[in-house]
Amino acid sequence: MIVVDTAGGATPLLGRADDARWRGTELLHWSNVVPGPVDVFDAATATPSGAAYPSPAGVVVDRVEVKPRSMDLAVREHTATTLPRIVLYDAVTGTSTVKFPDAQLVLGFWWSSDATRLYAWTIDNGTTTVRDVLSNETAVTFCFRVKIDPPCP
Amino acid sequence: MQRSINIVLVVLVAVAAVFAFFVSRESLALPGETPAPTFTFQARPSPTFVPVSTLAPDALRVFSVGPLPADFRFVTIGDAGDERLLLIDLSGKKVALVAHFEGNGSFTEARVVETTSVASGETVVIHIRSDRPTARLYVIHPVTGEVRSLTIPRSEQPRLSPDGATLAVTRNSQDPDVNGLWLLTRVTGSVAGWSLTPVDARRECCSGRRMGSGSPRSSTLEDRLS
Repeated sequence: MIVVDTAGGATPLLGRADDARWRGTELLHWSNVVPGPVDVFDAATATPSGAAYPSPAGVVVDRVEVKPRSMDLAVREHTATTLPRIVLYDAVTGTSTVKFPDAQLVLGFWWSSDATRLYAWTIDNGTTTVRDVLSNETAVTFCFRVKIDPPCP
Repeated sequence: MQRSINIVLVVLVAVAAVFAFFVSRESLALPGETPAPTFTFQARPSPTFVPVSTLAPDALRVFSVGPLPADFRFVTIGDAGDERLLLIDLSGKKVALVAHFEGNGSFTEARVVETTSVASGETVVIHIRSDRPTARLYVIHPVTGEVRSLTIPRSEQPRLSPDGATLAVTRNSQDPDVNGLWLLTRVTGSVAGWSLTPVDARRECCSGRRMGSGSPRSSTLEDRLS
């Protein structure tokens, strides 16, 4: 990965990355193909600045969503022998809590703007559901095809 | 004689007035009841949201959704040629249709639809590409259902800037002059239109090179909507 600014400047090669998210001036980036951490590039100083999530050995980070106004992260990850899952990483304690043990059918996930809810969007047999994985409350259910309202298949 | 006639007329008028007074009392009010004043409140109709739809090129129908909810998300779902852009109202627990491809149009083989939006949700861009040399952008304002369609060179991974004024796309090509990151910006002033410019550290910054024949106007084509 290199970081390019709109004026045409660019950094040296920073390493392998397949996806990234901004957190202020920090750019969090990771590979969703090979195991490794979520690294940080600080655009303000134009230097790499450590890891935002030092993932355990053998863990591939699929996707990261930055919790608003926080250093915590929601991370979808898997290993060669385990199913994808969504964990909540507490940056202060350096610990992770599993919030969605089987995230195979998760199409996407995101934080509410007030950071009180973490929504996961799943699909199952033509019916999709968005629910808050922190409270386990279903927000809305709708169809993948043709119609909006269930029943779908 | 004339005086007698006048007297008779005055008497007749007086009798008619007294008669009318008693008749009106009998017909307008019940005995012992004082008519109460009445008021009629006519509620002013509140502004009603009337959805509209527009058919854009390549069979994309765009709908107005009205004011955006407090907590929402745009998602794109559906099979090729039947993709739908939905607005999920997370607080209201409902879903609204923003745009729907009612067919493949001219994008059939290797068709890919991507979307990007500003945080406020007031502008959403749908980017569609296939194996054709050109791609298409739809700049949509979901509140009103307004849509603009632009034909641009084949590209992918659209990202709107936070202010919605610039769209970044990548171009994956064997040609090093084409490959890389490009910015689509709205040109205002005397030469209005759209400009697609490369961002590439290997070249001197923004040397005036444009896509197409050189004029900012010719870099992209804004399609007429039917």
